[in-house]
Amino acid sequence: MADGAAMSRMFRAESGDGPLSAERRRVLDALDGDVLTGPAIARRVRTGKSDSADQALLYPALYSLEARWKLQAEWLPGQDGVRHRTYRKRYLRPR
Amino acid sequence: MIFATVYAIALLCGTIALVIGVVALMRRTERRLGPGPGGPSASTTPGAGAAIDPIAAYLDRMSGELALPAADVAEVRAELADHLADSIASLEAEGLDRDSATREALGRLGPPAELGRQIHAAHQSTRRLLAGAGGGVFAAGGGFVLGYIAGGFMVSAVIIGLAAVSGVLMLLGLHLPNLLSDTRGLGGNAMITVLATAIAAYAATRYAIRTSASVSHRTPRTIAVVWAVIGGLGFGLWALFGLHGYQTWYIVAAELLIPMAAVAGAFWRVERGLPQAGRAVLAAGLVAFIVLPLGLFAVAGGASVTVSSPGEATSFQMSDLHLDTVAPMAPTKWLPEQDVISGDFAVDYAADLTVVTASRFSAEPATLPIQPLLANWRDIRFEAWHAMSIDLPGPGGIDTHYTSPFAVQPATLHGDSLAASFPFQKYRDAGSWWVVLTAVGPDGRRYRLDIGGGDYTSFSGTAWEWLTAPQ
Repeated sequence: MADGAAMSRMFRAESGDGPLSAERRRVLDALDGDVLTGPAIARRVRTGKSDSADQALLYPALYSLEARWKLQAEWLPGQDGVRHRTYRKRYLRPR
Repeated sequence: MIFATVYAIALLCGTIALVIGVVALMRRTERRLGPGPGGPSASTTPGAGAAIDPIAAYLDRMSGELALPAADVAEVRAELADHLADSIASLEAEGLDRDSATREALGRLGPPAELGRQIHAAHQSTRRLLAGAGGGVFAAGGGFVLGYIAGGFMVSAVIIGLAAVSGVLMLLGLHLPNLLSDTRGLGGNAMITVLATAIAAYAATRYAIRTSASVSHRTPRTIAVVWAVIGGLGFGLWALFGLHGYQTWYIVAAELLIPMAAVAGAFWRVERGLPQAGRAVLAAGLVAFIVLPLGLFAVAGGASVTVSSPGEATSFQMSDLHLDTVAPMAPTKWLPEQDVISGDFAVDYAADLTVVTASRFSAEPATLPIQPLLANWRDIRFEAWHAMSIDLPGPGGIDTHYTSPFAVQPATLHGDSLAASFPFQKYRDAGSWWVVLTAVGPDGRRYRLDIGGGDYTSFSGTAWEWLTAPQ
């Protein structure tokens, strides 16, 4: 289980936006050209990493990328028939 | 003419397009700001039984830090609930029991308050802020147009209602004062315009706030102060310096309501959605604008009110004009009786000036040069006096409540006549006036050279010009 105090220190030390910036880069790399849900992105981002349990910055990174118009989010039905929020990269020109 | 027609058509089409665009934008805005039954909700919270409580508590704690529009909060909750469901299922597949899996899934997301603050900050980017400002300005334009139309209907409905009530009261024999009799209807028209503008300012600020809140992903209350300052200052300056037309004290007071209405639109129940015009409103509108006028005409036809007063004068004496209040008539030894000086006036609307002229007439119906008559006179001037209301029965003439003119202009020669210009439309209370030509005779006393003439002039200008105008 992630240590709450350590998480707080990390957030406070983030004045330079370092950890969040790094998380945003990882999210963009993980997405590539696919359409993925948050949990699917988390699995791709954490594959083979030592802090695989840390997901505290995943959604702040996703929402900030969406707010900066780098990602486009959409609620789409999954294979289970339930609607999930999905993300894909936003391109200037349609692909 | 063609240019004016094309311009009018383009303006009308542009306004209609603006209104349609803003209505569509506001529908989207209201869906985002309101919880909305169609949007994603926390009903996707996974699992059942004992696992619901810690997840719901976590989401509640996290949501407490989200000062976002309701639809955004619901969306974040739904997505995190979906994420937790996925995590818990994965951890259970790895062998953890339900409670342990829930604790681990929640722990991976970190402290709920920190997560809420981070997500709140992540929602608000400079791009969204700029887009929100632009959307707010666009919505304010459409809101102003819609508010002005609605305001015009509302004020007209109130006036029709008051007129109907007045008609009934007069039928019952009650005498009501005509509050607008001294303004020739200008006061009523100006009041309708100003009150409709105040309602439009309220709507414009309201539309701007809700749209920019929706687009910038902020709550309406967090940006209300900014729009209140912008709306209050913008509409305040416009009300003081921009609204040009008839002014009097109650019109100026109503114009000061315009910025106040804009500020009220920013703060009064700003979190509540905009009213939707439903069938009830349309039905009320039909009643107000079809049934009420018909009733009014019926009442007015039955009342057949006459406005004559007993003893109304049909002819008058020269003394009724009270011209001796100005000065005694010039003696014939200095102004021959066969020579008559007669005044005339014309309004220069472009310059907001009333041009007064005095010409010499003799037995012949022809204008003669006035110069030969001026040898005995000096300090020749036109004096403007407050006059009896020329809308009332009677000849008009000097209002004897006053002992001095409210404006004086030196008479200057223009061709064969004397002339001067008075900015009556820039005098706060010019109203009915009477202009007389006077001069100082050889004995050193001032005399009147003609009987003058009068008219009514209403103030025309901005509220600021009225406030700083001479009485």
